[in-house]
Amino acid sequence: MPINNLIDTLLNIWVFAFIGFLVWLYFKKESDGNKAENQKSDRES
Amino acid sequence: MFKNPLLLIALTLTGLVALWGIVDTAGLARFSSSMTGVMFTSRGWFIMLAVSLLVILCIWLAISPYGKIKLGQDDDEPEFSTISWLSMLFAAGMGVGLLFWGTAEPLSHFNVIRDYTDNFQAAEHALFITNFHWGLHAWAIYAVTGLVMAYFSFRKGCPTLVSAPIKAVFGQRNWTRAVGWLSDLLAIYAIAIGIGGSIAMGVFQIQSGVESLLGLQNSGLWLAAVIFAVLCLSYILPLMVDLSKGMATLSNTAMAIAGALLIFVLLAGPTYYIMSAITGSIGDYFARVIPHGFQTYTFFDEGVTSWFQSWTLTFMVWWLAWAPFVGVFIARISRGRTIREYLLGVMLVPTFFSIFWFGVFGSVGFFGVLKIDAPIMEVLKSNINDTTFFVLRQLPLSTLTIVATVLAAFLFVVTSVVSASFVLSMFAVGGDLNPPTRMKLIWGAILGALGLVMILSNSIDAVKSIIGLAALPFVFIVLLITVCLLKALKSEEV
Repeated sequence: MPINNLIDTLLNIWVFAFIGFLVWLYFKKESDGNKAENQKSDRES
Repeated sequence: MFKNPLLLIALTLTGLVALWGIVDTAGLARFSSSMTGVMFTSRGWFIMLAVSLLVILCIWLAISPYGKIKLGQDDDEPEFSTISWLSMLFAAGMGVGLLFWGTAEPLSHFNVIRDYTDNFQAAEHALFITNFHWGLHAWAIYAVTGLVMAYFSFRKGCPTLVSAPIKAVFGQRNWTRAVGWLSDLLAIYAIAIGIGGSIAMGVFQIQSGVESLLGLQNSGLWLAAVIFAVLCLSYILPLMVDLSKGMATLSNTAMAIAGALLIFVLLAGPTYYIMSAITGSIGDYFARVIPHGFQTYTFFDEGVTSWFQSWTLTFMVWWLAWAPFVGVFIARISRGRTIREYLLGVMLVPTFFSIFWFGVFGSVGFFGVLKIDAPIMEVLKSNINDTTFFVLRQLPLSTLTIVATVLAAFLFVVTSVVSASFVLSMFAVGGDLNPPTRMKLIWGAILGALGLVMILSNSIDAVKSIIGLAALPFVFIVLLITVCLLKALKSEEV
């Protein structure tokens, strides 16, 4: 039973960390270099 | 070609799974079943939450000003007529599953739910659950994946790869390259295993049809092997020629046969009963679908949670397994449509068709059980593959309808394998829309080997758990590329 609990906890910690990562990515400001690169690719297309 | 490490690792990985399955089929099925059990217990809530959020996101995008954005340049026009477009996306997304599960799935749910309530409520709920599995939630997974691929490929000029949105939005960095590479690998792996399962399901279905036609009893693996060989021979030629027009013809033919079967069963079966069931299930579905997406059966007994895992969660990851393949395919045929048009077409039309399909085939099954005491539940328990054919045998012209079902199943599997080989080859060569024929043939062979593994397992439950294990990681990728889309949309002027 304890091993099952441990696996469950680890699997869900991964999920929580992933959700946090997504939220961080969504609100993260783009660096100027990255923005310029994206605008360049927009212009080319 | 073999200097590409992604291709080499993907081929090795899928090849090893195929080899393991051929050498020790039961061992692979046991391992997959126990791993998916652990994953579903711990992450079932996350899968349901993620899929429900995708549905809500699709609804929001369709009604928001972003709906006006074209998937392509502003002056691009759709390549296919709307009817052809809908038929192709539906054939790619559901295909043989509809023929297999039409009656079998509602009755399987009914068999469990009737232990908890009376027969009439159990039938109603069984139909709702079936529609839930094949409706908006399934199509939201496909729609979002396809939308991301189409938006970045046709509007931003990126290669058609799962990794492309990540690199396009967050730039060429070490972590984006690593995550992008892993995403492409997981996409290839999920597609390969998912299509292997579809081949097996198609072969089981065709096998039952042939047994029914020839009056054979439990023909065993030899007939499955013959059908499998014919299937492999049939998809070699389409892999060697340009697929665009040919695939449209094959998909349209398969869908036309399925549509004709649907109308025939509706008219030849108890029409008033079927139409009443469909009308009821439309109301029931749209009244309960969104809240039910958040249902995880936490406080129910072991029997219910196990049923939830082996059906609802399995179906959701099944759609996830198919998402990279169907997503790319839908994206490719949707160029020139607006986001609103795309989402409404991809979400609503197949959902209504599914409600109609399961309404017809499901309620014919319920009519047999509840009204005329036909031994359909015994057929379901003894040989689930034969359920659809049992229903057809109760109606007139059964030889013709069984032949039509076998033919449609065959065409659905061939179109799936050919399209999947194309998408896998495209991924493996960096998103080139015209991958080399040799590459498509290699993937055709790998898909065949994976299909053979699943056939050898001789169990639809084993097929479901093998697919589940391969597809689970893809839920993370779908969410990641969704964030990429949302970030990219912020910079659109609407």
